[in-house]
Amino acid sequence: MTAAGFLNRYLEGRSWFHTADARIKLLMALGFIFATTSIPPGKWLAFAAMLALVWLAAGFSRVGLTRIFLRSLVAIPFILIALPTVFTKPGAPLFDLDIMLFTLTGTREGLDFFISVLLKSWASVTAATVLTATTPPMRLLEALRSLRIPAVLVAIVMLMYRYLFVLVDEAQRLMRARAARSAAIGRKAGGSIVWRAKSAGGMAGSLFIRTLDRSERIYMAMLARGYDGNLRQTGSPPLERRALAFLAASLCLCASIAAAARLVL
Amino acid sequence: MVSSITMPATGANLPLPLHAPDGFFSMPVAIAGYLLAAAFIGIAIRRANKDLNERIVPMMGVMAAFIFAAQMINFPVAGGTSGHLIGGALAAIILGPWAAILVMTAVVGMQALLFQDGGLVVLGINLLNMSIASVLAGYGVYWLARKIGASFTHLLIGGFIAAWLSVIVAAASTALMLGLSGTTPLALALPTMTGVHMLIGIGEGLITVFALSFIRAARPALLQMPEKSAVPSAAPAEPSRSGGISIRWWIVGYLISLSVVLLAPFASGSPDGLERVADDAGFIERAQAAPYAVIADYAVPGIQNQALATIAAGVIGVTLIYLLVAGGIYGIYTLYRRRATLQHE
Amino acid sequence: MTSPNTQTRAIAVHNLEFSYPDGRPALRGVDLSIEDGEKIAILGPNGAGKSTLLLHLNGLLHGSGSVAVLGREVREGDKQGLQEIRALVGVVFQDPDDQLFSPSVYDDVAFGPVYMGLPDEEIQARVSEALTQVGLEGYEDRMPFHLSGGEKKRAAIATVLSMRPRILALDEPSAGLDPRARRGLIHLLDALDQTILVTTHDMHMVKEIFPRSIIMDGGKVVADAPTHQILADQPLLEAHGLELP
Repeated sequence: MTAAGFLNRYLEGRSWFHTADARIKLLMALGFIFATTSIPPGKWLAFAAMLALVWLAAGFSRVGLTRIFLRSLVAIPFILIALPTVFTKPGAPLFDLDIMLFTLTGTREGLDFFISVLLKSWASVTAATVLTATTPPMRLLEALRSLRIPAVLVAIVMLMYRYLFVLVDEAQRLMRARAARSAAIGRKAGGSIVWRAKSAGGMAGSLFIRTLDRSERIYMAMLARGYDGNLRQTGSPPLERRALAFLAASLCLCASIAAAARLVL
Repeated sequence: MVSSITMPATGANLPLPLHAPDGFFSMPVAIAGYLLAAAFIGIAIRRANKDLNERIVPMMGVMAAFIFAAQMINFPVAGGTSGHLIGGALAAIILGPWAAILVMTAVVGMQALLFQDGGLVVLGINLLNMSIASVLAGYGVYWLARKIGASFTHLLIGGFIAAWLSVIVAAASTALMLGLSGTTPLALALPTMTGVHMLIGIGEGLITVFALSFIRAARPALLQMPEKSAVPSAAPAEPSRSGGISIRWWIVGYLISLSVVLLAPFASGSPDGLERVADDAGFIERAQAAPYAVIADYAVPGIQNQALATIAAGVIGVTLIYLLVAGGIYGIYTLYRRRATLQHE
Repeated sequence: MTSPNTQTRAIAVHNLEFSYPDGRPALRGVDLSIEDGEKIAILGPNGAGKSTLLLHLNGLLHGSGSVAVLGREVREGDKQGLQEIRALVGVVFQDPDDQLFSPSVYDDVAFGPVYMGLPDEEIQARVSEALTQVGLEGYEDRMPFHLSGGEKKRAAIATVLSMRPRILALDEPSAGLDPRARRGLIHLLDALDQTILVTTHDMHMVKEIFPRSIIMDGGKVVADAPTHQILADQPLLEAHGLELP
């Protein structure tokens, strides 16, 4: 698979989400995740509302719910880290788990907390997945400018994105060459762990040196076209009023669900 | 904690060691993470600008792409798992700490924004752990090793420990934030995370050392001066007169971290803030009345209450990490000052 | 050269010497004079100093001796002057992946005009003009990475054409292209009316579109004559590791 293949998370489409301004979408996603994260554990109605919202958005994006679903599972392994809380959070005992010599007591509060973290992160990852599936990466990076990220950092990230493909390609070529060599030797993994680490380290080292040389040539190419170290960019178009109103409305909705979760539910 | 997972949509191995997703940290911790990360990145931009001038964008941009690509170079360890580079220490050693912070910031930021590798709202925390704490700790160790001796062996041993420690610091700092958020008890998270990453760190150390020895064989000049960035500056760097990091920065940073520690147990639990305070007002009676369910081995001795134990462990942890980071910064600062005075004479 | 009037001369290089920071000499006293509108090929083995010479023409490298472009002296540290000279001399690097450093073709072709401080409408006009010139209309939103080898080369040329340079200096323009892309490139270079200077190993291309050739070896110009004469001098070509077409 080429680098371009798996580096691109964008899925072509014609939905409203595809045509909407990336800045609006990014702010919407951030607002949604902020709101979701701030819902206290155990407020199931609020979580249900957030999940309904994000899956509604996923449906409207028309890139395929299965694909969004598969991608949204990316954070699941991390949930293991919150598992102990089921047993350590003080609260009403719910069940006992006998493991070898000792017994773990799961509590109601602990389980609530655990499931809440799971739902929060799943809803958040789904929101981010819809965002990247409906927004070309370049538009997303350009949208960073509207978040008051320092211009130098945005310029660095833009250049990084351009050369990601070139360098990932180079790294994959190096790894293919390694695979070909070790197959020829007849040992699949080839040698001891240290030997393997050595070959990986050598690859990283040679990739670094090539990269360093390349950065010098790019710098020259920039200078050749008048680059003077000052970052200049063509201004981004102002946001449309309707888009802004939509953003405000959706942020209000997210905020009021989060607020209701704390105050009412 | 998994060292790498297979992405369902692509089948490609992407690194996912410490990239915490959204939802795992409480809001105050996430916001404090943003503020602290922003402060460090701001300093890094100023410092790197001074060193690299107009080269900063092409150099840092391509180097960030390099780290991203280098993270894909994996090597099979055992039982179907494979190790790979994270790169914080390697970047710090070959580019210098400030440039490395920028490079790692770009890497971690792009992984979150474009690849859902780490959350968006918790990005500040992930940056703090992987792009800042890890780089500074790694650089501090490497710098120290090169101070002790300038030989190739010092370079390699220093590089190994730097890389090993950079991973552990990132893991410890992640555990700390998880503890502060109440997501998982610190008394459990800290030993588990650091323990696992003491193993993962060996792979990091090995690859870093072999990468360094390759670079040293191919371009010895790049590794001669540990405190200098890999690229000769176009113009001689302006000696920094007032640009030093004042002691105020440390104190502010330390206070922010501490306040996060102290606020966290109130903000992260199930009830909202006020309820929680009321709750805690009578915590001892409740704690004894309620059937406490702590994993037997991890009950913190001497401290009855979980929240208190968390706070105590958090304060100790923050102080340790902070001293480490501040020590690194101080070392770099004195070095810069020495260079500046040398240039003046 | 017959015309002593440096004002009309596109490029005048006199006794140019340059060593790399590690002390390796790259140019050892190069003299070169090029009239406006000429199309010249620089031949020679790898390491002869061809690419290094190109980098002096717009002040990316500075050696001792003198370089003048359209009557302007290229001086180190003269920021304003260098900016103007870089707009006059478009240098196209060998690897288009170095030249095309922006995330989209539009941004890349607009880069030069943006740094010339041109107004937005003018930038847009120049981008579409340059893309039309190289036959890449409608490629504005494409990512450079996704272009074919030939398209990358054309896009790289467009990135300097948008600055409307008077002189084009191209490093190995036809290297690594398949026959059809190479043919397209030759037509493109033939059609451009700027003064053109290329370094190349592609003798067929030289024969076809470059009336004058220069051979460099060991950091010096060892031959400077009409292309048909150079190509007829078998011993000369062999002495400098060049092959007849």
